[in-house]
Amino acid sequence: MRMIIQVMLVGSLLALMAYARLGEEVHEILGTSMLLFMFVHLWHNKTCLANIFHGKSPRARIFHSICALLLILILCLQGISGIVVSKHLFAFMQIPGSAFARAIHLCLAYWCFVLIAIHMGLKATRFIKLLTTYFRERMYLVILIYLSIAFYGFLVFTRSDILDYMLLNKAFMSYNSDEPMIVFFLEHIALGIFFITFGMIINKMSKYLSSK
Amino acid sequence: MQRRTFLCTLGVSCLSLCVPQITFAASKALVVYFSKTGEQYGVGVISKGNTAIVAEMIAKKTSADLSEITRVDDTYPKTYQALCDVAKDELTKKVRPKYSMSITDLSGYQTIFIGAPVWWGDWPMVMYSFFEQANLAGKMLIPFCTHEGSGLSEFDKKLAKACPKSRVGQGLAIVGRDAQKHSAKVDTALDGWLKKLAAQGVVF
Ligand SMILES: Cc1cc2nc3c(=O)[nH]c(=O)nc-3n(C[C@H](O)[C@H](O)[C@H](O)COP(=O)(O)O)c2cc1C
Repeated sequence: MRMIIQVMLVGSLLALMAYARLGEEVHEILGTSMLLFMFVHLWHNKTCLANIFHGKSPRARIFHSICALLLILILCLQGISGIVVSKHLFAFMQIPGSAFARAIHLCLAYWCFVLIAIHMGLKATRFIKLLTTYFRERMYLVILIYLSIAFYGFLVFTRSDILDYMLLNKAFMSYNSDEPMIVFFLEHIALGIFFITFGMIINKMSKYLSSK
Repeated sequence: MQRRTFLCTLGVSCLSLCVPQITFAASKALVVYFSKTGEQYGVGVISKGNTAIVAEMIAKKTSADLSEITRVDDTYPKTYQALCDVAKDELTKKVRPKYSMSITDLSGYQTIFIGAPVWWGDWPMVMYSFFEQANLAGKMLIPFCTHEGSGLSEFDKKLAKACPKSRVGQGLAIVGRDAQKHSAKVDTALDGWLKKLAAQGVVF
Protein backbone atom coordinates (compact mmCIF):
# COMPACT_ATOMS: atom_id res chain seq x y z
CA MET A 1 0.00 0.00 0.00
CA ARG A 2 2.81 2.39 0.87
CA MET A 3 4.52 1.59 -2.40
CA ILE A 4 1.34 2.08 -4.39
CA ILE A 5 0.84 5.54 -2.93
CA GLN A 6 4.48 6.42 -3.60
CA VAL A 7 4.18 5.32 -7.21
CA MET A 8 0.89 7.23 -7.55
CA LEU A 9 2.58 10.35 -6.16
CA VAL A 10 5.43 10.17 -8.66
CA GLY A 11 3.07 9.28 -11.48
CA SER A 12 0.72 12.15 -10.79
CA LEU A 13 3.66 14.53 -10.43
CA LEU A 14 4.92 13.61 -13.89
CA ALA A 15 1.45 13.92 -15.38
CA LEU A 16 0.97 17.27 -13.65
CA MET A 17 4.14 18.57 -15.27
CA ALA A 18 2.54 17.81 -18.62
CA TYR A 19 -0.07 20.48 -17.92
CA ALA A 20 -0.08 21.95 -21.42
CA ARG A 21 -0.51 18.59 -23.09
CA LEU A 22 -3.03 16.82 -20.93
CA GLY A 23 -5.37 19.78 -20.64
CA GLU A 24 -6.63 21.84 -17.76
CA GLU A 25 -9.42 19.60 -16.51
CA VAL A 26 -7.10 16.59 -16.25
CA HIS A 27 -4.52 18.78 -14.53
CA GLU A 28 -7.00 19.97 -11.94
CA ILE A 29 -8.24 16.46 -11.18
CA LEU A 30 -4.66 15.15 -10.96
CA GLY A 31 -3.62 18.04 -8.71
CA THR A 32 -6.48 17.40 -6.33
CA SER A 33 -5.73 13.69 -6.17
CA MET A 34 -2.02 14.28 -5.68
CA LEU A 35 -2.81 16.37 -2.63
CA LEU A 36 -4.93 13.53 -1.27
CA PHE A 37 -2.14 11.04 -2.00
CA MET A 38 0.21 13.30 -0.06
CA PHE A 39 -2.02 13.14 3.00
CA VAL A 40 -2.17 9.35 2.80
CA HIS A 41 1.62 9.29 2.40
CA LEU A 42 1.96 11.49 5.49
CA TRP A 43 -0.39 9.18 7.38
CA HIS A 44 1.78 6.21 6.45
CA ASN A 45 4.83 8.00 7.77
CA LYS A 46 3.25 9.62 10.79
CA THR A 47 5.77 8.17 13.23
CA CYS A 48 8.62 9.57 11.20
CA LEU A 49 6.87 12.90 11.09
CA ALA A 50 6.21 12.94 14.83
CA ASN A 51 9.91 12.35 15.49
CA ILE A 52 11.11 15.07 13.17
CA PHE A 53 12.41 17.31 15.94
CA HIS A 54 13.60 14.65 18.36
CA GLY A 55 14.78 11.06 18.38
CA LYS A 56 18.14 9.69 17.42
CA SER A 57 20.74 11.82 15.63
CA PRO A 58 18.54 14.64 14.40
CA ARG A 59 21.59 16.15 12.73
CA ALA A 60 21.79 13.34 10.18
CA ARG A 61 18.14 13.77 9.46
CA ILE A 62 18.13 17.54 9.30
CA PHE A 63 18.02 17.63 5.48
CA HIS A 64 15.34 14.98 5.41
CA SER A 65 13.26 17.05 7.80
CA ILE A 66 13.79 20.37 6.02
CA CYS A 67 13.02 18.82 2.68
CA ALA A 68 9.90 17.05 3.92
CA LEU A 69 8.55 20.11 5.74
CA LEU A 70 9.20 22.33 2.72
CA LEU A 71 7.39 19.84 0.53
CA ILE A 72 4.35 19.77 2.78
CA LEU A 73 4.29 23.56 2.77
CA ILE A 74 4.76 23.88 -0.99
CA LEU A 75 2.21 21.21 -1.83
CA CYS A 76 -0.35 22.94 0.38
CA LEU A 77 0.44 26.27 -1.32
CA GLN A 78 0.09 24.56 -4.69
CA GLY A 79 -3.33 23.34 -3.61
CA ILE A 80 -4.42 26.82 -2.56
CA SER A 81 -3.00 28.66 -5.58
CA GLY A 82 -4.36 25.92 -7.80
CA ILE A 83 -7.86 26.48 -6.45
CA VAL A 84 -7.51 30.23 -7.07
CA VAL A 85 -6.39 29.81 -10.70
CA SER A 86 -8.79 26.93 -11.39
CA LYS A 87 -10.87 27.33 -14.54
CA HIS A 88 -12.94 24.21 -14.06
CA LEU A 89 -13.35 22.29 -10.77
CA PHE A 90 -13.09 25.25 -8.42
CA ALA A 91 -13.88 28.12 -10.80
CA PHE A 92 -17.23 28.70 -9.10
CA MET A 93 -15.43 30.06 -6.03
CA GLN A 94 -14.21 33.12 -7.95
CA ILE A 95 -11.40 33.90 -5.56
CA PRO A 96 -9.54 37.13 -6.45
CA GLY A 97 -5.77 37.31 -6.74
CA SER A 98 -5.55 35.04 -9.74
CA ALA A 99 -2.58 36.86 -11.28
CA PHE A 100 -0.46 36.38 -8.17
CA ALA A 101 -1.65 32.82 -7.66
CA ARG A 102 -0.79 31.94 -11.25
CA ALA A 103 2.78 33.21 -10.91
CA ILE A 104 3.22 31.36 -7.60
CA HIS A 105 1.69 28.15 -8.91
CA LEU A 106 4.00 28.02 -11.91
CA CYS A 107 7.12 28.88 -9.92
CA LEU A 108 6.41 26.46 -7.07
CA ALA A 109 5.54 23.68 -9.51
CA TYR A 110 9.18 23.41 -10.49
CA TRP A 111 10.43 23.79 -6.93
CA CYS A 112 8.07 20.98 -6.05
CA PHE A 113 9.45 18.79 -8.82
CA VAL A 114 13.04 19.39 -7.73
CA LEU A 115 12.31 18.91 -4.02
CA ILE A 116 10.38 15.70 -4.57
CA ALA A 117 13.33 14.33 -6.54
CA ILE A 118 15.75 15.35 -3.77
CA HIS A 119 13.39 13.84 -1.19
CA MET A 120 13.45 10.57 -3.17
CA GLY A 121 17.25 10.72 -3.37
CA LEU A 122 17.50 11.21 0.37
CA LYS A 123 15.34 8.14 0.97
CA ALA A 124 16.96 5.98 -1.69
CA THR A 125 19.35 4.10 0.62
CA ARG A 126 17.17 1.02 0.93
CA PHE A 127 16.53 0.93 -2.78
CA ILE A 128 20.26 1.18 -3.52
CA LYS A 129 20.97 -1.69 -1.09
CA LEU A 130 18.37 -3.77 -2.89
CA LEU A 131 19.99 -3.07 -6.24
CA THR A 132 23.46 -3.90 -4.91
CA THR A 133 22.41 -7.30 -3.62
CA TYR A 134 20.55 -8.05 -6.82
CA PHE A 135 23.16 -6.99 -9.35
CA ARG A 136 26.32 -7.57 -7.25
CA GLU A 137 29.33 -7.60 -9.65
CA ARG A 138 27.36 -5.95 -12.39
CA MET A 139 26.57 -2.97 -10.18
CA TYR A 140 29.06 -0.83 -12.12
CA LEU A 141 26.81 -1.25 -15.17
CA VAL A 142 23.80 -0.02 -13.21
CA ILE A 143 25.81 2.96 -12.00
CA LEU A 144 26.97 3.72 -15.52
CA ILE A 145 23.45 3.64 -16.91
CA TYR A 146 22.20 5.69 -13.99
CA LEU A 147 24.88 8.34 -14.47
CA SER A 148 24.24 8.63 -18.18
CA ILE A 149 20.54 9.17 -17.58
CA ALA A 150 21.34 11.74 -14.89
CA PHE A 151 23.69 13.49 -17.28
CA TYR A 152 20.99 13.55 -19.92
CA GLY A 153 18.68 15.02 -17.27
CA PHE A 154 21.26 17.73 -16.67
CA LEU A 155 21.27 18.53 -20.41
CA VAL A 156 17.48 18.73 -20.40
CA PHE A 157 17.72 21.11 -17.46
CA THR A 158 20.19 23.42 -19.20
CA ARG A 159 18.10 23.78 -22.31
CA SER A 160 14.79 24.16 -20.53
CA ASP A 161 13.37 27.30 -18.90
CA ILE A 162 13.05 25.60 -15.53
CA LEU A 163 15.46 27.90 -13.73
CA ASP A 164 13.62 30.92 -15.13
CA TYR A 165 10.37 29.54 -13.77
CA MET A 166 11.95 28.78 -10.39
CA LEU A 167 13.35 32.28 -10.06
CA LEU A 168 10.09 33.88 -11.21
CA ASN A 169 11.71 35.26 -14.36
CA LYS A 170 9.08 33.61 -16.47
CA ALA A 171 5.51 33.90 -15.34
CA PHE A 172 3.55 32.21 -18.12
CA MET A 173 3.35 28.64 -19.14
CA SER A 174 4.37 27.82 -22.68
CA TYR A 175 1.68 25.93 -24.56
CA ASN A 176 3.71 25.30 -27.63
CA SER A 177 5.76 22.23 -27.92
CA ASP A 178 5.88 19.86 -30.80
CA GLU A 179 7.82 17.05 -29.18
CA PRO A 180 5.79 13.88 -28.68
CA MET A 181 4.33 13.12 -25.27
CA ILE A 182 6.58 10.11 -24.72
CA VAL A 183 9.69 12.26 -25.21
CA PHE A 184 8.32 14.75 -22.70
CA PHE A 185 7.86 12.05 -20.07
CA LEU A 186 11.22 10.38 -20.69
CA GLU A 187 12.97 13.74 -20.48
CA HIS A 188 11.21 14.58 -17.24
CA ILE A 189 12.13 11.22 -15.78
CA ALA A 190 15.77 11.93 -16.69
CA LEU A 191 15.43 15.35 -15.15
CA GLY A 192 14.05 13.81 -11.98
CA ILE A 193 16.92 11.33 -11.87
CA PHE A 194 19.37 14.22 -12.18
CA PHE A 195 17.90 15.83 -9.07
CA ILE A 196 17.59 12.52 -7.23
CA THR A 197 21.39 12.38 -7.41
CA PHE A 198 21.55 15.58 -5.35
CA GLY A 199 19.46 13.92 -2.68
CA MET A 200 21.76 10.91 -2.59
CA ILE A 201 24.85 13.12 -2.33
CA ILE A 202 23.30 15.23 0.44
CA ASN A 203 22.37 12.06 2.26
CA LYS A 204 25.92 10.68 2.07
CA MET A 205 27.38 14.00 3.15
CA SER A 206 25.11 14.46 6.13
CA LYS A 207 25.81 10.91 7.29
CA TYR A 208 29.52 11.53 6.99
CA LEU A 209 29.28 14.84 8.85
CA SER A 210 27.17 13.52 11.67
CA SER A 211 29.42 10.50 12.15
CA LYS A 212 32.43 12.74 12.77
CA MET B 1 8.76 42.56 -90.10
CA GLN B 2 5.23 43.80 -90.08
CA ARG B 3 4.03 40.52 -88.71
CA ARG B 4 6.52 40.75 -85.90
CA THR B 5 5.38 44.25 -85.00
CA PHE B 6 1.82 43.04 -85.03
CA LEU B 7 2.62 40.17 -82.71
CA CYS B 8 4.52 42.48 -80.40
CA THR B 9 1.63 44.91 -80.21
CA LEU B 10 -0.74 42.04 -79.58
CA GLY B 11 1.49 40.76 -76.78
CA VAL B 12 1.80 44.16 -75.14
CA SER B 13 -1.89 44.87 -75.33
CA CYS B 14 -2.67 41.48 -73.88
CA LEU B 15 -0.33 42.19 -71.00
CA SER B 16 -1.78 45.61 -70.40
CA LEU B 17 -5.19 44.01 -70.28
CA CYS B 18 -4.00 41.50 -67.71
CA VAL B 19 -2.11 43.84 -65.39
CA PRO B 20 -5.03 45.88 -64.11
CA GLN B 21 -6.95 42.66 -63.61
CA ILE B 22 -4.19 41.28 -61.40
CA THR B 23 -4.18 44.39 -59.23
CA PHE B 24 -7.91 44.23 -59.06
CA ALA B 25 -7.92 40.59 -57.92
CA ALA B 26 -5.50 41.33 -55.08
CA SER B 27 -8.08 43.01 -52.86
CA LYS B 28 -7.04 44.85 -49.77
CA ALA B 29 -6.46 42.91 -46.59
CA LEU B 30 -7.80 43.95 -43.21
CA VAL B 31 -6.08 43.87 -39.84
CA VAL B 32 -8.46 43.48 -36.92
CA TYR B 33 -7.13 43.60 -33.38
CA PHE B 34 -8.01 43.87 -29.72
CA SER B 35 -5.51 45.40 -27.34
CA LYS B 36 -5.37 46.94 -23.89
CA THR B 37 -3.58 50.00 -22.61
CA GLY B 38 -3.09 50.66 -18.91
CA GLU B 39 -0.91 48.39 -16.79
CA GLN B 40 0.34 45.31 -18.62
CA TYR B 41 2.63 42.52 -17.56
CA GLY B 42 6.36 43.31 -17.73
CA VAL B 43 5.96 46.70 -19.43
CA GLY B 44 4.36 48.90 -16.75
CA VAL B 45 1.62 51.33 -17.72
CA ILE B 46 1.41 51.67 -21.50
CA SER B 47 -0.41 54.21 -23.61
CA LYS B 48 -0.49 52.03 -26.70
CA GLY B 49 -1.28 48.33 -26.37
CA ASN B 50 1.28 45.70 -27.35
CA THR B 51 -1.03 44.08 -29.87
CA ALA B 52 -1.99 47.50 -31.27
CA ILE B 53 1.66 48.18 -32.08
CA VAL B 54 2.04 44.85 -33.90
CA ALA B 55 -1.28 45.31 -35.73
CA GLU B 56 -0.20 48.73 -36.99
CA MET B 57 3.08 47.30 -38.24
CA ILE B 58 1.30 44.54 -40.14
CA ALA B 59 -1.17 47.00 -41.67
CA LYS B 60 1.68 49.24 -42.79
CA LYS B 61 3.69 46.41 -44.32
CA THR B 62 0.74 44.96 -46.22
CA SER B 63 -1.00 48.30 -46.94
CA ALA B 64 -4.03 46.78 -45.25
CA ASP B 65 -6.88 48.60 -43.56
CA LEU B 66 -6.83 48.61 -39.80
CA SER B 67 -9.72 48.25 -37.41
CA GLU B 68 -9.71 47.98 -33.63
CA ILE B 69 -12.19 45.83 -31.79
CA THR B 70 -13.33 47.37 -28.54
CA ARG B 71 -15.72 46.16 -25.95
CA VAL B 72 -18.94 48.11 -25.68
CA ASP B 73 -19.12 49.29 -22.02
CA ASP B 74 -15.44 48.66 -21.49
CA THR B 75 -15.42 47.88 -17.81
CA TYR B 76 -12.02 46.20 -17.88
CA PRO B 77 -9.88 47.33 -14.92
CA LYS B 78 -6.73 49.31 -15.63
CA THR B 79 -4.45 47.30 -13.36
CA TYR B 80 -2.96 44.00 -14.41
CA GLN B 81 -3.97 42.10 -11.27
CA ALA B 82 -7.60 43.15 -11.38
CA LEU B 83 -7.80 42.61 -15.14
CA CYS B 84 -6.58 39.04 -14.65
CA ASP B 85 -9.45 38.29 -12.26
CA VAL B 86 -12.05 39.78 -14.59
CA ALA B 87 -10.62 38.03 -17.65
CA LYS B 88 -10.55 34.67 -15.89
CA ASP B 89 -14.12 35.14 -14.74
CA GLU B 90 -15.22 35.89 -18.32
CA LEU B 91 -13.35 32.87 -19.59
CA THR B 92 -14.80 30.40 -17.12
CA LYS B 93 -18.31 31.72 -17.78
CA LYS B 94 -17.70 31.83 -21.54
CA VAL B 95 -19.09 35.36 -21.64
CA ARG B 96 -19.58 36.92 -25.09
CA PRO B 97 -19.19 40.68 -24.48
CA LYS B 98 -20.69 43.08 -27.02
CA TYR B 99 -18.02 44.43 -29.33
CA SER B 100 -17.76 47.32 -31.71
CA MET B 101 -15.34 48.17 -34.50
CA SER B 102 -14.86 51.02 -36.94
CA ILE B 103 -15.16 48.90 -40.10
CA THR B 104 -18.32 46.81 -40.06
CA ASP B 105 -18.65 45.80 -43.70
CA LEU B 106 -16.16 43.00 -44.17
CA SER B 107 -17.50 41.80 -47.51
CA GLY B 108 -14.68 43.41 -49.52
CA TYR B 109 -11.88 41.68 -47.61
CA GLN B 110 -10.68 38.22 -48.54
CA THR B 111 -7.81 38.10 -46.06
CA ILE B 112 -8.19 39.23 -42.47
CA PHE B 113 -5.36 39.32 -39.95
CA ILE B 114 -6.80 38.89 -36.48
CA GLY B 115 -4.74 39.73 -33.40
CA ALA B 116 -5.19 39.84 -29.63
CA PRO B 117 -3.22 39.38 -26.41
CA VAL B 118 -3.14 35.91 -24.87
CA TRP B 119 -5.38 35.94 -21.83
CA TRP B 120 -5.22 32.86 -19.65
CA GLY B 121 -3.93 30.80 -22.54
CA ASP B 122 -6.86 31.77 -24.77
CA TRP B 123 -8.29 34.54 -26.96
CA PRO B 124 -10.00 37.26 -24.90
CA MET B 125 -13.71 36.45 -24.83
CA VAL B 126 -14.63 39.57 -26.82
CA MET B 127 -12.78 38.03 -29.77
CA TYR B 128 -15.12 35.05 -29.73
CA SER B 129 -18.03 37.49 -29.98
CA PHE B 130 -16.40 38.76 -33.18
CA PHE B 131 -15.64 35.26 -34.51
CA GLU B 132 -19.18 34.10 -33.95
CA GLN B 133 -21.10 37.22 -34.93
CA ALA B 134 -19.16 38.75 -37.83
CA ASN B 135 -19.58 37.19 -41.24
CA LEU B 136 -16.20 35.57 -41.81
CA ALA B 137 -17.34 32.64 -43.94
CA GLY B 138 -15.10 31.86 -46.90
CA LYS B 139 -12.37 34.27 -45.80
CA MET B 140 -8.73 33.59 -45.12
CA LEU B 141 -8.08 34.36 -41.44
CA ILE B 142 -4.54 34.84 -40.15
CA PRO B 143 -4.21 34.85 -36.36
CA PHE B 144 -1.49 36.66 -34.42
CA CYS B 145 -1.00 37.35 -30.75
CA THR B 146 1.19 39.06 -28.21
CA HIS B 147 2.05 37.14 -25.07
CA GLU B 148 4.57 36.87 -22.24
CA GLY B 149 5.64 33.26 -22.52
CA SER B 150 2.69 31.20 -23.67
CA GLY B 151 3.35 31.55 -27.39
CA LEU B 152 0.52 31.22 -29.89
CA SER B 153 -1.44 29.12 -27.38
CA GLU B 154 -3.26 27.31 -30.19
CA PHE B 155 -4.93 30.52 -31.36
CA ASP B 156 -5.04 29.02 -34.86
CA LYS B 157 -6.88 25.87 -33.80
CA LYS B 158 -9.27 27.80 -31.58
CA LEU B 159 -10.02 30.26 -34.39
CA ALA B 160 -10.63 27.44 -36.84
CA LYS B 161 -13.03 25.85 -34.39
CA ALA B 162 -14.92 29.09 -33.84
CA CYS B 163 -15.06 29.85 -37.59
CA PRO B 164 -15.49 26.48 -39.30
CA LYS B 165 -16.49 28.09 -42.60
CA SER B 166 -13.28 30.10 -42.94
CA ARG B 167 -9.77 29.07 -43.78
CA VAL B 168 -7.12 29.73 -41.14
CA GLY B 169 -3.53 30.54 -42.08
CA GLN B 170 -0.28 30.20 -40.19
CA GLY B 171 -0.26 32.33 -37.03
CA LEU B 172 2.44 34.39 -35.38
CA ALA B 173 3.25 35.02 -31.72
CA ILE B 174 5.12 38.15 -30.62
CA VAL B 175 6.37 38.78 -27.08
CA GLY B 176 4.44 41.73 -25.66
CA ARG B 177 7.43 43.61 -24.28
CA ASP B 178 9.25 43.25 -27.61
CA ALA B 179 6.41 45.21 -29.22
CA GLN B 180 7.06 48.03 -26.74
CA LYS B 181 10.84 47.91 -26.58
CA HIS B 182 12.39 45.95 -29.44
CA SER B 183 10.60 46.97 -32.59
CA ALA B 184 13.50 45.91 -34.84
CA LYS B 185 13.10 42.33 -33.58
CA VAL B 186 9.36 42.40 -34.23
CA ASP B 187 10.01 43.91 -37.66
CA THR B 188 12.22 40.99 -38.71
CA ALA B 189 9.76 38.45 -37.34
CA LEU B 190 6.91 40.06 -39.26
CA ASP B 191 8.88 40.18 -42.51
CA GLY B 192 9.74 36.49 -42.31
CA TRP B 193 6.17 35.56 -41.47
CA LEU B 194 4.60 37.67 -44.24
CA LYS B 195 7.03 36.24 -46.74
CA LYS B 196 6.04 32.72 -45.70
CA LEU B 197 2.34 33.56 -45.95
CA ALA B 198 2.84 35.02 -49.42
CA ALA B 199 4.70 31.88 -50.47
CA GLN B 200 1.75 29.84 -49.20
CA GLY B 201 -0.47 31.80 -51.57
CA VAL B 202 -2.16 34.11 -49.09
CA VAL B 203 -3.22 37.28 -50.88
CA PHE B 204 -2.63 40.62 -49.17
C1 LIG C 1 -5.78 39.06 -18.11
C2 LIG C 1 -4.45 38.72 -18.70
C3 LIG C 1 -4.10 37.40 -18.89
C4 LIG C 1 -2.89 37.07 -19.48
N1 LIG C 1 -2.58 35.75 -19.69
C5 LIG C 1 -1.43 35.44 -20.34
C6 LIG C 1 -1.12 34.07 -20.62
O1 LIG C 1 -1.85 33.14 -20.31
N2 LIG C 1 0.04 33.81 -21.25
C7 LIG C 1 0.90 34.81 -21.64
O2 LIG C 1 1.92 34.51 -22.21
N3 LIG C 1 0.62 36.10 -21.37
C8 LIG C 1 -0.52 36.45 -20.74
N4 LIG C 1 -0.80 37.76 -20.47
C9 LIG C 1 0.14 38.80 -20.92
C10 LIG C 1 -0.36 39.44 -22.19
O3 LIG C 1 -0.64 38.48 -23.17
C11 LIG C 1 0.69 40.38 -22.78
O4 LIG C 1 1.07 41.31 -21.83
C12 LIG C 1 0.15 41.07 -24.03
O5 LIG C 1 1.23 41.53 -24.79
C13 LIG C 1 -0.75 42.26 -23.73
O6 LIG C 1 -1.13 42.86 -24.95
P1 LIG C 1 -1.99 44.17 -25.08
O7 LIG C 1 -1.20 45.32 -24.51
O8 LIG C 1 -2.19 44.33 -26.55
O9 LIG C 1 -3.29 43.97 -24.37
C14 LIG C 1 -1.99 38.09 -19.87
C15 LIG C 1 -2.34 39.43 -19.63
C16 LIG C 1 -3.54 39.75 -19.06
C17 LIG C 1 -3.90 41.18 -18.84
